[in-house]
Amino acid sequence: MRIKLIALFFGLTFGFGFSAAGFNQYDIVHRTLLLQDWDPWFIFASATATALPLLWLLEARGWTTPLGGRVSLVRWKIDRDRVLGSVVFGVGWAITGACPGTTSTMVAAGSLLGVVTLAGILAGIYLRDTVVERAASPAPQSASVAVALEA
Amino acid sequence: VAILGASPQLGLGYGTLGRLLPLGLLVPVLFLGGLLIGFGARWAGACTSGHAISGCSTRSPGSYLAAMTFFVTAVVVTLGLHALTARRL
Repeated sequence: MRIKLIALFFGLTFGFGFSAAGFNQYDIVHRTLLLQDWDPWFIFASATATALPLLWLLEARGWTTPLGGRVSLVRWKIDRDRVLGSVVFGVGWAITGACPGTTSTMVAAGSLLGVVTLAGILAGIYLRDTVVERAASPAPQSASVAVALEA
Repeated sequence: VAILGASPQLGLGYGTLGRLLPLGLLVPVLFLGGLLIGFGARWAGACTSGHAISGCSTRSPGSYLAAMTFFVTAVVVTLGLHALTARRL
């Protein structure tokens, strides 16, 4: 329960921050990506500049969080998936002026078309997971053929 | 409700893109764009929040690479759309 309340609080601040920055408005994101509006780039930079040294301190000093756990930070390796996925994501971002986080703020602000973008995102996640599952398990068609042959 | 009423986003507005495209075209374009966002972000492991803000803050090497890639891609594609639509977008 406590962790849910904390999650709710940080969700609120996140949504508030996005809305205050205007990240839920197509025109603001679009002007940012056209390099006509530089403020959002500074917002990214200041968010990172705030969190980076604090996380560094937490990790380096081995401090525990108020919830009692030690901080363990996720680190991604440099690989092809990071590049290929990001290219696909970047194209979608340019088209819709939205990313997964800001789309929820769009919907929360009452944008009906934001719901369309959100539906697309959910479908995209489902599609990607399906592709990964297909690649991980042997093709279902050939499996059923094998079963048919055995029978 | 008062806050929602003051929201510039309430309803079918989608800024410049909404004025440029008729609704019948806007809906499939947004859905397809969303599809690319979901597919790509899942593939890359995270999105703007996860790789750019959080990933860069945790000094995650893959996140620096991902953030650079999607920022550059999004800017190039946006500038391309701007040129293709004769600066209307």
